[in-house]
Amino acid sequence: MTQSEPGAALVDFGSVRRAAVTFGVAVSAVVITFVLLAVAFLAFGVDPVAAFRALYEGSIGTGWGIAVSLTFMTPLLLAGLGVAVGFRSGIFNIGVEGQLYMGALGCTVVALLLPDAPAIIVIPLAMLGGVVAGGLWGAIPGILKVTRNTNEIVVCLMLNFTGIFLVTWLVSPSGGPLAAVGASDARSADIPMQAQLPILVQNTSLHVGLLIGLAVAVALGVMFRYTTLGFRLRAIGKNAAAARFSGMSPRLGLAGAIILGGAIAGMAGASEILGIKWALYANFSGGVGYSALAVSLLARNHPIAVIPSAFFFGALNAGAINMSQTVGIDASIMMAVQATIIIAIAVGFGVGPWDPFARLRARLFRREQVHPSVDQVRPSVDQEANRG
Amino acid sequence: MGDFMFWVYLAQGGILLAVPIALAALGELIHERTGVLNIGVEGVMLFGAFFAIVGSLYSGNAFVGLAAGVVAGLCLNVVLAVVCVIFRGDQVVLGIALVLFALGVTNVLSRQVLGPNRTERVAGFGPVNIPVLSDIPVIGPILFQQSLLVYATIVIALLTTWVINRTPVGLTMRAAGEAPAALVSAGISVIRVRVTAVLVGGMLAGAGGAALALQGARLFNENMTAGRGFIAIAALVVGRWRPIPTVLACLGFGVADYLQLQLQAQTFLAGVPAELFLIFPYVLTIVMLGIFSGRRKGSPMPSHLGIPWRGGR
Repeated sequence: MTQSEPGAALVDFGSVRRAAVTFGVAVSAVVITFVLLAVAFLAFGVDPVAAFRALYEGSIGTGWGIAVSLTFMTPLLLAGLGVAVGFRSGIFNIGVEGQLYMGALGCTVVALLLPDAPAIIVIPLAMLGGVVAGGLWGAIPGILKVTRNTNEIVVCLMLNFTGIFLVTWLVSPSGGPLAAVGASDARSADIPMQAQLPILVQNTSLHVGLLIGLAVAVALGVMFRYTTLGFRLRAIGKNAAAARFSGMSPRLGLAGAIILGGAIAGMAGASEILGIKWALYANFSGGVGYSALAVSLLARNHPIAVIPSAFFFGALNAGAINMSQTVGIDASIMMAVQATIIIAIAVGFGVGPWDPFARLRARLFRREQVHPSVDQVRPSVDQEANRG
Repeated sequence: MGDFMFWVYLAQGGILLAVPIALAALGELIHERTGVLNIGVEGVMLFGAFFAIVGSLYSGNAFVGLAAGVVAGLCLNVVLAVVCVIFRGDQVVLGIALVLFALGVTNVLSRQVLGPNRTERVAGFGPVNIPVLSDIPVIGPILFQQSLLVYATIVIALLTTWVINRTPVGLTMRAAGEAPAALVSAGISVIRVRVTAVLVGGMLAGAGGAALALQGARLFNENMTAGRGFIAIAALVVGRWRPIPTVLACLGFGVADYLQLQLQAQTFLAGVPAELFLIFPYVLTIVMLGIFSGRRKGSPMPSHLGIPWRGGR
């Protein structure tokens, strides 16, 4: 959608400008949101300085805060990648929350079935269980989309509720099949000791799941940039009609992308269970799958950029806990913060940034018209895909 | 006779539970027919429900609560109108943001504003018996011993059908969703039509949330909409974007919801856990969507649904 610059043969200024614009929009969105947050603090009669200091100290201001931030970042990173894979390929994977629960379920079942296996066997198998379960949950909207042309967004949302309630039932203390014997809260039995993921830093909860997330981010970055599969998915996401005329199948690509996204989201659930929860709890995620949308959008759906974006939101969550304890504002205000960031980004990318040099460049390169707007947040692939 | 009365109660309770979904679905229908999708109607309902409770709590009057819910829904849809219609942002992305926003804001406010009053039941809408008609056996209890909002919903549904299908306003709305360029040729602003529809839809979705809060629990629970807004969107697909079939689809979900509540109390299902019944409406929605989508040619979906209008005014 951004045309190549006639005068930019040696250096690709287009992509540099695009990256700068993305960065600018993301930073402005965050700044605007923080200003609004300060106004909200004043409205609630809370000292904004004290609140922001609590936010800072609970997140990046102390070593402990950083460890907590990184721990919160881990599921957001994997779940955000599950969303980003879909966006890049032109499908809206809003079913991450449900896929995460199913991944956690698959992983718990495998871990509980192998009580005596050594770590080297049970951890990979349990992760695989999570990946497969998440992928299967993602396959439902994918297959419905391909065979019945069903709207994947509504199906995904319904599957989120289905997955959450399914887990709630399975671990329900009043007769759930997976419920821990004698437990009063809704949870499964503890997974075996050797299935727990190793801790990275002594005396913190920071576990190996973070490294898994980073590896997946890099792998996806490489896949989208250097492999044929990644090229095809990107092509389908950018322009389904052109992809179809080049012999690709947009509909299969979309189904594949949502299955892959589901598998990665399942990995997020599995890493939470094996890394920090050590048992399957009802409602354990608390909306990570929805926050993942904000993570992916702030990163402009780029797998590598999802890493800092996930850290940002992980730090916000970590800081919010400290803030709620210090100044007494409920931590769920961070949901409103995420929403405001998404809204600001949607406006920024919808309008396209203001480009003061557009007219000058147009004259220099003798072009009729300059479109400074970057690509849409979501390529409108649906109609094209349906024909293919 | 006991068995027979069960069916009467099923119809009566199903209608009552369908009203919030139906109001939201009608609001969604109005702006979807002009080409604007609001996946965040769930959040708009939640906002409406919260402010309806606040309004009713502080005034002691259910109608003030309803008005507060309507205004709250309107306010959220102003954001949608500005970001998606005027600034051409992505409608699905913004819709999800609205859900998150409403969840976060109502959670925080229910602690900050309601505080200790959170468990107090507010003035709500009880059943109103229509004289004479309510005494008819079977039909009386089902149709004429309902809350005012049930009657209002039926009127709004009929009115929406008439306006969309039979009036110049409806033609303009449908044109905005099917052929916006034609509207421009006729000298009508696509943006203005869509903004108006989004605002009206927001008021109805807010009223749906208010209905949920003021007919049922009469107090605010966190995330009390629990996916009803998403079911409203699904009802639209099942009802093929027509008001009356959409309301009937909502009625189906209302009946399923009532069954789900009642079956938990039935003795022959004593061993089956409640959560399985909670799943029921969502699985039903997926199955219905699978059945009712499919046909690719002649889809009843407005062809410009979700696509921002980039042309001139």
